[in-house]
Amino acid sequence: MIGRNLRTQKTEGRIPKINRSVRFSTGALFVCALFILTFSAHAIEVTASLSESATAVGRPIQFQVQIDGASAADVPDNFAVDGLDIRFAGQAHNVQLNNFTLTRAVTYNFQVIPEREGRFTIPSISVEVDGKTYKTQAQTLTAARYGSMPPTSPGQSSQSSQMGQLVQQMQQLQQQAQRQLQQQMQQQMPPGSAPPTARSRPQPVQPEQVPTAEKLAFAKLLIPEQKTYFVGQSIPVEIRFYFDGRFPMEVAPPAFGGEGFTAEKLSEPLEKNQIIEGVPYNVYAFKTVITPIKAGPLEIPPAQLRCLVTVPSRTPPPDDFFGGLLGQMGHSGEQRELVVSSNPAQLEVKALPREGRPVSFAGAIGQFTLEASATPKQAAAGEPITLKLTLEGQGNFNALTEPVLSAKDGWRIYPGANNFTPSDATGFSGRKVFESMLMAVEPRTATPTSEFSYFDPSTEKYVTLTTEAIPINAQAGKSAAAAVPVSAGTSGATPPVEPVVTSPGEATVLSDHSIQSFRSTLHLPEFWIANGAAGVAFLALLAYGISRRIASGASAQVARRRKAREKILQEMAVPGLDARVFAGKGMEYLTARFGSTAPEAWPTNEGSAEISRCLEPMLNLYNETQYGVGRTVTDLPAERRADILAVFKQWEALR
Amino acid sequence: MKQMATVLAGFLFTLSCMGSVLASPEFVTGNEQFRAGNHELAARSYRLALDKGAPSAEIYYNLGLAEARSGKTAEASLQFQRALTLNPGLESARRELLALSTQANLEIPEATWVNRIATLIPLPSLWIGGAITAWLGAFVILAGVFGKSRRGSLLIWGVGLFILGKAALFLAWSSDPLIQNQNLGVLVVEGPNRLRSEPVENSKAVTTLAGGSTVALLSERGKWVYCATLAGERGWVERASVQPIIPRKS
Repeated sequence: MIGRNLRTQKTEGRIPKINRSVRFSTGALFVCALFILTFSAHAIEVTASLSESATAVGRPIQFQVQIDGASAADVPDNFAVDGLDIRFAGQAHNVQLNNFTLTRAVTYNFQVIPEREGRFTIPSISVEVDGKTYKTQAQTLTAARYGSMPPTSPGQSSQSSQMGQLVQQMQQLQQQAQRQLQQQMQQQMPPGSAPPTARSRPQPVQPEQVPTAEKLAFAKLLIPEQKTYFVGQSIPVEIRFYFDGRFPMEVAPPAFGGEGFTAEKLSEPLEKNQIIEGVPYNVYAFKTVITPIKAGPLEIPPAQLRCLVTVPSRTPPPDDFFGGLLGQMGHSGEQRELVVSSNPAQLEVKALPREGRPVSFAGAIGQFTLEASATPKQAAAGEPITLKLTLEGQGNFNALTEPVLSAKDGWRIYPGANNFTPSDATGFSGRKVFESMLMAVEPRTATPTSEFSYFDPSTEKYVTLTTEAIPINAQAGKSAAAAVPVSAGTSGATPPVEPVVTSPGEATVLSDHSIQSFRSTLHLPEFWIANGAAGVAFLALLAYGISRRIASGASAQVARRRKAREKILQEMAVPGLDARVFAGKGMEYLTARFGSTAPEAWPTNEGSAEISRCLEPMLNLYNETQYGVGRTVTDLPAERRADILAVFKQWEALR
Repeated sequence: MKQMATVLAGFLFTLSCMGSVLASPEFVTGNEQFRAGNHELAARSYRLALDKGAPSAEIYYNLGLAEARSGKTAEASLQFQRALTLNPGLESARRELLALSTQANLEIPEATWVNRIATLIPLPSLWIGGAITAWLGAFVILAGVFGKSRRGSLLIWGVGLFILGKAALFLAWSSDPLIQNQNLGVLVVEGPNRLRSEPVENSKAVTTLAGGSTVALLSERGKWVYCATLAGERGWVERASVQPIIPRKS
């Protein structure tokens, strides 16, 4: 947690002695033993120290008075030092049992805040312990001017440093609030009652009276009521954190942000105190500006802040004996960590309307006024005239661009510095001044006119502001460009670029235009669809060609076989052919036609039996030729051969 | 026959009208403002015309002229390069860009013979003609392979047409600025732009280029873009200071 103590209770007068009464009841024996153990006398030592020897105005440091060898002491807190705000910030006890030796120490803490810069000396302090008076050594502190201190650690970022300053400011504000609250309470005291002095403590709150977490601290998110918000519009937002002023708290910097919008840095907190239902609250108000970046419903998440609050403890006090022995070193308060969240908000965001959008509109949203001034009124040749255009009002100043100049003939214009002066902590309202350097290239009697357009979210309309030409008397300067000085306000800017000068007619605008696309033909879907179609057609044709090729190969084989069979039949028809050769050729035909000579492979029909009878002599003759060794082979008469050939031709005619 | 001639004439007329449109009101206003010497207003009008309508080389060219007249060299360079990307044959844009680069010492890509192809032949014709020729060649090869007559001559013609078509497609790819300029950007901050050695502010400057110079966009990291100059030097620039020639949302 980055935050520091926001202690508000101020203790004045003598700090009460811690109760040392020891009851010899239950632990009397143990006490005796302990006394024996610790009888060896420990020298009481009183030291004072500063947490830092140098600080800055408003930056608190710690001053400690440590008493070793005692559990209680009488320490004054009235050692006022001119220029330092010294406040008692609590005490801490330390008891250690080491090698049968009990060592005790008590530390009194003070918060020291320099009120001005300079070198201060905290004087020696008299501390009374067990009737004896001890003196501390004097301490020297150097306070620099406010904000001049570097971050506390080398690695600390500038952001955390800013956060630290923020919390520090909150701390100072809370102290101021406490004083104001006390003043208010004094004024509310009934007549005759003793007015509470600045030294008096606030009325202690009993543990039972500690309010709930929701009442100890809460927050509100305030957004101005508006029917519709627009993209790019700056919306002022206030976040208020309420802290119960009766309890000391440590706080971390608040967190605020979300999606769909940008939020500026939170402003420094504004403080006030407020009594709500009889409870004094310290109120810290942070302001910022949010800008929606997209149209549609926009959820603004709650702003959140973490804090540690110290409230009276509900747990019973420690045992009387140990409480007395340890000097009530257990504090009577307990710390609670709270996450303080504001309410969320929902906005309806619209895009800026296109209808009625002026040409000179460049994103300005809000309410503005425009004024123009020119100095000097008389300009010699080569002498520049500064034209100041001042935009004032409320809106998105960070998006404002320079008003557009018209009637610029005869002028050479160089953009100059622009300067924004906010009139509130968030930069929502203010004044922005644009400066331009005008150099007359022809004698001129009036400055250019200017035009500025913005969108007014309250009326939801575009507004165009114009300024009239300002009468001046400017002589023409031939070497105007060479004489233009670089504006002092344009820090880091490069010298203005000479506008491209072309003679009239050399390059002019085109009066017609065509429509193109930034997509190449290669990336057009139509191109790929057409190529895909061609590819599909190509593949289809390829497949067709291949299938045709396969089919033609099969039919050619069939034709070849048919031709071979026809050749066999022609050979069989030769008159006077040897019967054995005829039978062999017949078997060859059957094999070529049906793949086998077996009758089962032949086609079956009504005349199958007759065909078998017709072919039987040929089959027998073939068998005789093959297996009848040395036997005389029967001849086949011509009419039988003719019958066989007729059967074969019949089969050949079959598909 | 007469009807066919009428249909063909109508088709050709439609083709000749493709791409040209009636000038938008913003474009006309921009031209009026430009002629009146109100170059900033003219530039805004042209931007409005581009926002509302489709991209147009002529509008980008006019916008570039208006920016140049307003002294915004870097912006003018970007708009001229966009105009030339859309229409490489827009000689007036090329001339103005050349004059601008000479005047402001800008680093812009030099035109090569490959770039000149785009000025001679309309690139869509090259793309479509190349594709048609290549496919025609492929089909003729098919006819040569599976045909029964003149197979040899068909194969020779087919292979020739296929190679011719592919060569045309390669030329179109090489010379199409819409493809070649995809990773190019223009430094849009006026004055010197520093390319830094690391994507960190105030890191060492590798080189300095005038606003309006062209760089190759290599990669991005957060708000930084890694660029290469045309001379080959590499460094980081902030994303806001460089604009791609081809707008991202087109």
